[in-house]
Amino acid sequence: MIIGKYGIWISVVFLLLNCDKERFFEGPDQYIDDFESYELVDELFFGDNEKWSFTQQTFEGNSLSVSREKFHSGTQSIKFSALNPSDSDSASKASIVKQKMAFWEGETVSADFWIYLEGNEESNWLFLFDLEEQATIGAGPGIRLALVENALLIEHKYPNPNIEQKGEKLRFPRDEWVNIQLEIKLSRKKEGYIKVWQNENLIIDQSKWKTLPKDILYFQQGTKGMYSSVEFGITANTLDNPTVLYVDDVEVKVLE
Amino acid sequence: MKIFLIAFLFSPIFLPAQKAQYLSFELGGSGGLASINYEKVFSQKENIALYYRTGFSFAPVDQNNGTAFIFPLMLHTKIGKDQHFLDLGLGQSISITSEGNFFIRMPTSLGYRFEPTGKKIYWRFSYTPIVSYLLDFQWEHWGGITFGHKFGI
Repeated sequence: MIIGKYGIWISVVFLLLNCDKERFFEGPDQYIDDFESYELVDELFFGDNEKWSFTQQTFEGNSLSVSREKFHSGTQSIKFSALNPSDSDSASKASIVKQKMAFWEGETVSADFWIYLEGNEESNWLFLFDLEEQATIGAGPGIRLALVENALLIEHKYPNPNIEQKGEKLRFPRDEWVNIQLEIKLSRKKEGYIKVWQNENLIIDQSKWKTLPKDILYFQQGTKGMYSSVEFGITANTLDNPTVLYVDDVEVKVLE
Repeated sequence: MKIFLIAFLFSPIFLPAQKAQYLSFELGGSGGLASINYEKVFSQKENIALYYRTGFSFAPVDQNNGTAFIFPLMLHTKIGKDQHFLDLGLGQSISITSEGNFFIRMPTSLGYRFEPTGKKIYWRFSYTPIVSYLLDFQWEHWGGITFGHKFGI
């Protein structure tokens, strides 16, 4: 009797959640930061998710700082340093994350930012930008921009093949500011698309593509047909060398 | 906690006498990649039988999420006679990860069940879509093959 009584109420709550998920998981669908207003890096995380949500620094030597030596515009950028992960099981990360955003299926997300990658050492599978969802069970499924053999590609944290540049790959320049733009139409069917520009050159143009994850048996559960976080910096350095990267003038928004 | 749950699912309160009981192994199906299950018929009228099954499975998720321990609870109906049956099932599958996360999906089953005459075994071949409904409605195609063995009467 008691189970029946509460079972009805629990079912009603679940149904309301399901029907009104866009209100329940609401959040901003745009964010701009030129990093000019910060004196110290801790100020990036002031307030209740008003600016950035948190930083990931997986090794003790990894760091994040406000840089006044290199900048794309104004007088400042953010400097990310990540050690070589060497024999560790986990990737070396130094990144900033903004959570509790809301990019829904059917919308087109645009990300525009500037990167300065220091040095000429090889950087294979260096991840630079993530667009992810927080699933209840699962490893933040989403889309990532990676540098592999000195060229950008798109990798997915759900079953979907990588998208490489077709033909001759455009080399990723070092020791200079590089503009990256992504445009992603969100779809859980093969009705989405991904476009990537490097310094205004269209290097990836993939249509009829599944751009959102779905639940997968019991390995990935609680996906909602949305993305809720963006991550910039060295979001994962899996191989090779220590990395120093600068990021400036980031803008994420939904295109009208 | 896990031990208590397993003990509860397989406890003797589910085992009144004089009804057919099975232990089964399902490859794919309601438990994900594979599961072991206890099944018991609790109602039988002419060519229709109702039975429930409780099972256990697990799925390694990743380094951060650990392993998901899965407990499918299903209500089935078996329609037919002699050796051949239509087998329909609906249930809830509770996942609890080693990191403390929790989720429920709804496994369903539409299958053919074969019980060879004079033997204590059965085979079931099923279409077993798993449905998400808590945060979002999703229908995931899946299938399973079950081998069961009767015990008791």
